[in-house]
Amino acid sequence: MSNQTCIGSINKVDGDKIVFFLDGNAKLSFGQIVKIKSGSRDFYARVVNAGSSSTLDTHEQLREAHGKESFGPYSSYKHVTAVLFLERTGEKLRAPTFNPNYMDKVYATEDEDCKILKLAGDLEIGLLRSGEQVLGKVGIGIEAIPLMIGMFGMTGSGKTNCELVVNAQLIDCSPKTVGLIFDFAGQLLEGKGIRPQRGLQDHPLFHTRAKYYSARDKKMTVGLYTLQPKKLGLLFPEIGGPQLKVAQKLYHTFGDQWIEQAKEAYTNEGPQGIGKAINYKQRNVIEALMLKLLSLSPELFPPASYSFIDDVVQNITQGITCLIDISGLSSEEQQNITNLTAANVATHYKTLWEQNFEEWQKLPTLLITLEEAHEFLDPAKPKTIFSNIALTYRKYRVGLNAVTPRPSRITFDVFAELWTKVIMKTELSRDRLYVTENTPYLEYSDTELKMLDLGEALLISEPKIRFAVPVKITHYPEYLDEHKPTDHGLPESQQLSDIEQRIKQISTQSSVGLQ
Amino acid sequence: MPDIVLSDIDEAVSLLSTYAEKGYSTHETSGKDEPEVVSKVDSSKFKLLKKMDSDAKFVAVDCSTRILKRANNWGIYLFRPAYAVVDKRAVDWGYQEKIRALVGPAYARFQALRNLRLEFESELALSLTKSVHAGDYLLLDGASYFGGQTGYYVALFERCRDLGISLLALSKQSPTLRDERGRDFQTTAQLMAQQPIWVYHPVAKANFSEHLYGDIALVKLCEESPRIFRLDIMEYLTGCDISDVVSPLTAVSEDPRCLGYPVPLWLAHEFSATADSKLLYYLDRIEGLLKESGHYDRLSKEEQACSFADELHGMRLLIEREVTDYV
Repeated sequence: MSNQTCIGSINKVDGDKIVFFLDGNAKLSFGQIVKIKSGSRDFYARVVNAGSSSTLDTHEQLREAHGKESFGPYSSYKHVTAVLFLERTGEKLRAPTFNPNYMDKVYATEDEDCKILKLAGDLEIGLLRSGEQVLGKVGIGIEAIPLMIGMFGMTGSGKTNCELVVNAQLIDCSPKTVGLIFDFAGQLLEGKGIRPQRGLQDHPLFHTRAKYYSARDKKMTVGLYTLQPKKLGLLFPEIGGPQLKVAQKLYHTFGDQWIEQAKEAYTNEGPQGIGKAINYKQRNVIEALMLKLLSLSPELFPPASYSFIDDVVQNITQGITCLIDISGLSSEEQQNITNLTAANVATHYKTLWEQNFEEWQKLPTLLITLEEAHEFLDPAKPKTIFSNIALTYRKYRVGLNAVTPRPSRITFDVFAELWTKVIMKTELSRDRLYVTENTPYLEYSDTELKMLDLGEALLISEPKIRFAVPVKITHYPEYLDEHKPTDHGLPESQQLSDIEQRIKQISTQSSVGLQ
Repeated sequence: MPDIVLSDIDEAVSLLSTYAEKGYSTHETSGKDEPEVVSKVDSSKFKLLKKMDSDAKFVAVDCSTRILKRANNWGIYLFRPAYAVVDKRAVDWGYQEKIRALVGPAYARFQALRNLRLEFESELALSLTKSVHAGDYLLLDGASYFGGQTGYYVALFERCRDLGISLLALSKQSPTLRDERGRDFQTTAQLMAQQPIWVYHPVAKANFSEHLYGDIALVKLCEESPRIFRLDIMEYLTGCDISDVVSPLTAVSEDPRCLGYPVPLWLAHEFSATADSKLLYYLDRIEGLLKESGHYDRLSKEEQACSFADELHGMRLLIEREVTDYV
């Protein structure tokens, strides 16, 4: 064992909480993991609070403040509160069965401890923070993906960077893993806001293992003929039963072109035209349904049989990560595209699991990254496919990565299912309280969350990492620098301009020849 | 830690190391207690004081003594002479810290400690005479014994006399003053006094041959306070009207923290207190050096041999106790 640095001695122990005096020269930070040697056992604890106090009375402190007198090392002290989370006896690690003793020595963790704690994973999030140093790698396993992930942090806290790092590794691990990313702000492709600017398109495998869809190039369309009545619930979560019944009748009457036909009948003859066609008399139900159907944007939902979603499903099954850039769309359109796409992909996984288990086994483990997750998982809003995915899709190996600056707006049932949480700096006390109250091992961490810096986070990933680990999140551009494309020693290919020049020459020659 | 304290600690440790190696030979420690003064209270000696404001500067000196370590035959003590200068409402203050080891029986150490206190107070007061002027007051805490083996420096008396500084010595207690029936003189005087604030002068006249350099008087400086103090007025001041000499003290004796007692002396006493954390630091250093010298075990056992009574009284560290009659 290496010579570990003793940083203090235990002053008080109460349940899982320890308080220790910090040695004068020792440096520590909120969230840092410390080790306590107590007889044959080692305990690991996380720093959740700290304070400084004086043994002097007020008038002595005033003398010191005035610069008249100094009182030596016993006049002030720093005390640190830490919460126990792990006990180690020999090689056996487990939750603490007891607690340390008064005056047991406290040590800073080192690389060796990082190995013992087994914090590394297939998807590396960053490095373990220990004071001002960073130690070994910290990450989550692929098996943690379907156990659902949450990334929380205020604007500017580093969520986009963290998304890029995770999804880049999904691409790296393809075809074992695959990502479906909904990019609301159009940041991820080029890495807007990342300094230096590097996005997913800079990933060495992006062009072979990822596909980019954008609403801007008008190719991201969902043909109306692919919309069956059962999918209306995804587009219009508040739709009622009678309207769905009318839609079913229209589908039976007009087939795949039911929306187009219904629109035409409604435009020409009003509700009576629809009622006559399907023998239905409730005018208000017809009007309510038609109002919804007419609201579908003709650019996104043209009368066609093509749907980009089929392409997405196809790519996902082959391990090709799909980046869906929905920036530029209205909020409603974004919700429509997101719900439809996620539902189709998830349903594909579910259907294969139910109907062709062998094929399902070949599917890559899927992580759906959903930005602005609070807009889809808000308890005050109708339920969406995403709450369904979070609650029931883990057995199909479909995971949700709920990214949001407002975790308190995620419904409690879903929040409880997010077994991996990457918590970045969160300034709203309501959000901090929600996170700390509803996350195991974080009940004392309010101060710590407040103190997190840009690019720092706490990571919990049950069942493997059953405590909050302070992490310095990998900077995406640095990740790319470390994962440069493999050089196979092949000769450089011809420049496109050279090829064009050659084609021009050939065409000129052939036209001359023909003459 | 100031260098002077570090060298004090080195000297103390060296002395105790010599003691631990060679023991000590008992020697006579000279010194004597203050003589008793017996006098009949005379009502004509009460003089009314004038309550007044004063433009004079009042300088007071006091010294505290704390025990760092002690055994039957030795002790290590921290002295902290401090001063306070009160100039109307402005207060300046300062202190020194000195550590001394004393080897000898308790009664001899008691005398030696008193001498050291007077020595340190005298040195500090002498240094302060440079910053005061004629008409200002220099207040000592105690009786006006100068020279000899248990008195303030005569040089201090002479300097103040030459510079025209009013040197007064005020005792918080006056156990040696008796009335003609052997009762406490101060109480008898208090019962006879008619004025709201007064000076009773003289209880006894200055007697240079007995090293008493001032007339002994009693004063009541604040009407609202019942407190009476022994005040020794230096002989060179007694030619003036005593009431005029003493009355300016009323200007600094109405602080609610010490009603009836001159606040410069109270402040000097406050500033002479040493923080426990600092004492702990000194103790730590002394013990470290004693361990280095190899004598810690023996000296520590000697310490334990006389500490049981303290332990019974719930005292864990000697630094918790100030030296009065306990050495």
